[in-house]
Amino acid sequence: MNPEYDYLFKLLLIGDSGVGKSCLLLRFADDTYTESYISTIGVDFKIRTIELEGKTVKLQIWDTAGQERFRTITSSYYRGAHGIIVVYDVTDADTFKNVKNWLQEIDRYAVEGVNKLLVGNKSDLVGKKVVDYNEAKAFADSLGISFLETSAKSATNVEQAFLTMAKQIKDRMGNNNATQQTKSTVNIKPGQPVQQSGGGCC
Amino acid sequence: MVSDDDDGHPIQRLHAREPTTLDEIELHDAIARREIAKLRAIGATRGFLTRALRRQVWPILLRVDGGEPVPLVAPLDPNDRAKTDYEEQIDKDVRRSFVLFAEDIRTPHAAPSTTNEFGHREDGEDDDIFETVKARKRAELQRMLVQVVGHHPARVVSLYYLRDAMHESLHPVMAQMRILLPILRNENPDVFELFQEVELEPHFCLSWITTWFAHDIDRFDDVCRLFDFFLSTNPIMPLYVSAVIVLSQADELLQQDRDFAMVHSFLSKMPKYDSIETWIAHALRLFNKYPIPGIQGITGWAFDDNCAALRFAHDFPGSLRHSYLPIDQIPALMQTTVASLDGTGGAQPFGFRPLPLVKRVGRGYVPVDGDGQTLLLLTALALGILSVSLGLMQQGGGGHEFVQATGAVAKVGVPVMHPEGVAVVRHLVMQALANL
Repeated sequence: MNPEYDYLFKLLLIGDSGVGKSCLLLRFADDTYTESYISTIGVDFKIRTIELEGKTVKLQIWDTAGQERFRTITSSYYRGAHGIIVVYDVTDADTFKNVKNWLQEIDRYAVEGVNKLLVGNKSDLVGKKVVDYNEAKAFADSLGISFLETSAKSATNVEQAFLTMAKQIKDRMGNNNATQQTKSTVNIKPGQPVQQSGGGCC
Repeated sequence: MVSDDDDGHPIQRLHAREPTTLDEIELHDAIARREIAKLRAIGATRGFLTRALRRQVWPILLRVDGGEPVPLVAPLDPNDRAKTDYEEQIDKDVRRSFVLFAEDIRTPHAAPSTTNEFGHREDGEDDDIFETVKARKRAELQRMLVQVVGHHPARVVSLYYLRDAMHESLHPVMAQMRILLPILRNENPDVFELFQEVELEPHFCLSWITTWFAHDIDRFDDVCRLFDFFLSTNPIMPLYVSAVIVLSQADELLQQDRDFAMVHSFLSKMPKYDSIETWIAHALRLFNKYPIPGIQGITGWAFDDNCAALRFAHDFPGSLRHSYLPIDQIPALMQTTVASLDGTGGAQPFGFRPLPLVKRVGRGYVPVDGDGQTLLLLTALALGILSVSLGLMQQGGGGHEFVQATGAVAKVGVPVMHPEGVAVVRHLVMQALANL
């Protein structure tokens, strides 16, 4: 095993164009934010190493273009992913409606048992919010996947989103190896600023 | 940086080299005479120097300037915005596409306090003021875009130059992107080997090709210079620039982890460069060294007959005297591309069809995937013809040693291409010659 890390997890960000996938990644990997991030063309990825339950986990996060016409390229990146984060925009009902389609894409292209997470981004825009937290939460629960509201702008829950995903994958890996089973200890609150976690970055 | 050259402001030199007076005179002269060929030559080698000059030259190159006797394309009515499925997407992209160049294309008289608002966002400015400034800036930028690019020239660029990237499917442009591979294989086998090893398709340059690098290069003047270059040369040129960029960082590239993700990521970042002119000059050299017919010969790949690269010289000639293909006929060409794509099926997702055998033989035979059957058929046919003619010859005169021996080779079925077979044939020929 590579001495630099104990685990390497590949994550994928998908969702409609303009929901803030690149901004979420930029916030998580570089802790910066830009008001207007140029449209992603094809795919891009960033790396961040975190500490999780005493293990060094390297996250390789692929950011995909949301636009339909890039689907031929982006779909080929599903297969290698351990976890997939579906992002919608809480101020845009259509992007939430399309989550169903994105989940179908996962079924079609990703490996079976891939971990999934639903994220409603732009939670800082309280006045423009149209997708209700409870509605999204109920939807996610019905599918048995975790859900958070995030804001890449205010950094709310961004760290938590990626940590939740990493934790779930790690647990799954652990189960598969029949070694240890631990319960999730990551505490997530919707749409509330959370203290910056101590997760170490490279 | 000095600002724009509107309103009699000092003209900023946008070129890496200080232009000589002769260069300027030559350019002004070509503009005055509307010599497209001359302007293309200048665009390929030196560029059009300033934004003011570009405003004159680009419309001439695109044949959309008012002064042309027969405008190629009728200007669109600005109110007649075509309603498409992509309206919303376009709007989203327009809204977020101006950040990179916000500094560069601001108006010269903008108050200093408003010039930096994107950067100063974090300083806690009042949201309303910020929104107002942002909205004003956006309108300003859009006006600028329409002024510089416009609906009408944009149509010409998208149909004569960029049409292979304008299909609903990205397959045509992605197939073309693969020409990077033979160029790399010839220029730097180690880089090619790395691509093979990590199974890297050249997806990393998709944004370079489809936006002429505007998506990835943040120096506005350099993007302008590249646009000079691309407007003046074959539409395939952005791919040669991409090849140059890969080759220019080969040493660093070869030190990367031999892992798909790392290589893809390394390559998709625009490297630091001293002068865009170096890239342009190198791209031109590669283009001349590996012209498209040459690439077809090296690889056995057939380009789509209707792709912009193959038809450019014919459809959009560098002289106003030559006829051009009317723009409204191009969608039909694109339709046939789609039809031929359907024919290739899904076996090779971004591949080319093989060039027809006859054409490949004409360019020095290159075997391609799927040639196995054809070769077998040809060999069988050749052996068949040989046997028949041998039979005829034997029946006719018969008994000639050379013929018998050759017949023996054919019967044994030693492939003539095989070294052993060649040796046998050589031996027989020598024997026959000695007997003469």
